[in-house]
Amino acid sequence: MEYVWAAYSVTWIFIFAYTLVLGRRQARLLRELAALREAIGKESAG
Amino acid sequence: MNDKWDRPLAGITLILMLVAIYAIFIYAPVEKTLLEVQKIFYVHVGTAWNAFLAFFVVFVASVAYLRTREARWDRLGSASAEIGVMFTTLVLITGPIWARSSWNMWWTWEPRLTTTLILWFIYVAYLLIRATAGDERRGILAAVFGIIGFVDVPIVYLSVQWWGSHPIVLGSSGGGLPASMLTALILSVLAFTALYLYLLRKNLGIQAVEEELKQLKEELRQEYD
Amino acid sequence: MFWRKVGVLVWKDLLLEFRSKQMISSMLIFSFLVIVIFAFAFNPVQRTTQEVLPGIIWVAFTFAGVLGLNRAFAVERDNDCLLGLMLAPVDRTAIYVAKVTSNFIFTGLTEIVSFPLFLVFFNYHLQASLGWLVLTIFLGTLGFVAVGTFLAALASNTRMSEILLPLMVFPVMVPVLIAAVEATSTLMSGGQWQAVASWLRLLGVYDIIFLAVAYVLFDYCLEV
Repeated sequence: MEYVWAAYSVTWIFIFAYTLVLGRRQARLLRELAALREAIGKESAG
Repeated sequence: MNDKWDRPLAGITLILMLVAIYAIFIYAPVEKTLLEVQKIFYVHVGTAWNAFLAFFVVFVASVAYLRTREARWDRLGSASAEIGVMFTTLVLITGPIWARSSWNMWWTWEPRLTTTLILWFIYVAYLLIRATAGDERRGILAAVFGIIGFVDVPIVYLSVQWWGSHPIVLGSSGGGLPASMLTALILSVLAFTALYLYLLRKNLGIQAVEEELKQLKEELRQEYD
Repeated sequence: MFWRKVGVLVWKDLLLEFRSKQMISSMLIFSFLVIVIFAFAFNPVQRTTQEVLPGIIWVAFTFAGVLGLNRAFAVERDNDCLLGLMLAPVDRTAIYVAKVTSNFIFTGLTEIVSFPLFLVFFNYHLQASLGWLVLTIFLGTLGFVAVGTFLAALASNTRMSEILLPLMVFPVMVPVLIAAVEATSTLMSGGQWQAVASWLRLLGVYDIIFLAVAYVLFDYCLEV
């Protein structure tokens, strides 16, 4: 039974971790994009 | 990308996963000889099937990219390869756990497991090419290797099969399953396919943002140079 | 016409190598070194070592081969030779066929020299039918070089190509290694050709498939 438990928990932890990594990558990129947009906006306004 | 498909797809994936877990642990009966350990089979096959699907998508995207040179095919190949490697890693982890529990050894050089291992190496190399090639050439080089790698898979399988004077470990990969177990298996495969699609879209979205960012930087560079 | 161009390109590689002798000598020394290292790692007197000798031989061949493949296109990067080669009025595929031929010659020479050394240093009593053994090594080396040359061209476009090339070549050539080692080991322990016919057929099919695929795709590898 512990083998079943091990297999399923490893699978879920893995998938969860990968989704988390993707989410963080996305968040970082969106932040960068927003910052860049803002910088350009200021530049053209000023 | 926070587009309109992101949340529904996540929801569908979650529901399918829960249904699959219900089917695996409650609906499907416990196998008579292997007992509970046989439950590993569902997640193992579910991830393995999707790993192969992902690599097939890489192959199709590679051919399409070489023909059309449209960046979206390149992005599809890259996203699919990454997820495929992740699924293959899972197969390679659950495989030994299953092997250990049902015939008391960690690794068997069985054709399917061995081919999966070689697949893992091939597509890790694919990702390394993407990481180390120059920007303009990256897509073409990766696509070419994506085709070579895929063509290689059946030959690897055949050669490992001939090579193996090793014990045939399991004849039953679906054929002789009772109906309730088959249902659980199909649900598990479907759930993982939904997960694959969700992760694929997410990955593609990230690459689209990356692209946008790069373009914006390029514009700025031209403006201030 | 095509073959004349290939011939000229092969001659260029051979001439270059003949004048510097850098690559072939490093490959030879390296495979000699592998023999010595394996002799220390596995006691040559033991019976089991004699049984795995074919595997050891192929490890030495392929490792030395990768060394040569790494240089095959790196050499053309110096002084922008590759650009000159591509501007020459020949098909890209002629460049591929020529590189396969010259790499095959270099790897083959290494094998011809180091194979007897293996037998000497491991005191191996060879009882194989030499013709079939040569055919096995020929087909195995051809498969290795066909894939290897193609991937070397691909890798030469990346940073850290020297590390990347073995990482790409070895997984893809798993069938060659399995078939070549099995066939060589059967032949060296006195097996008849009937016992290795299916392995040789696999090697032949592999060679044809990958020569064809590489022939079709090579254009993309050298594009600028």
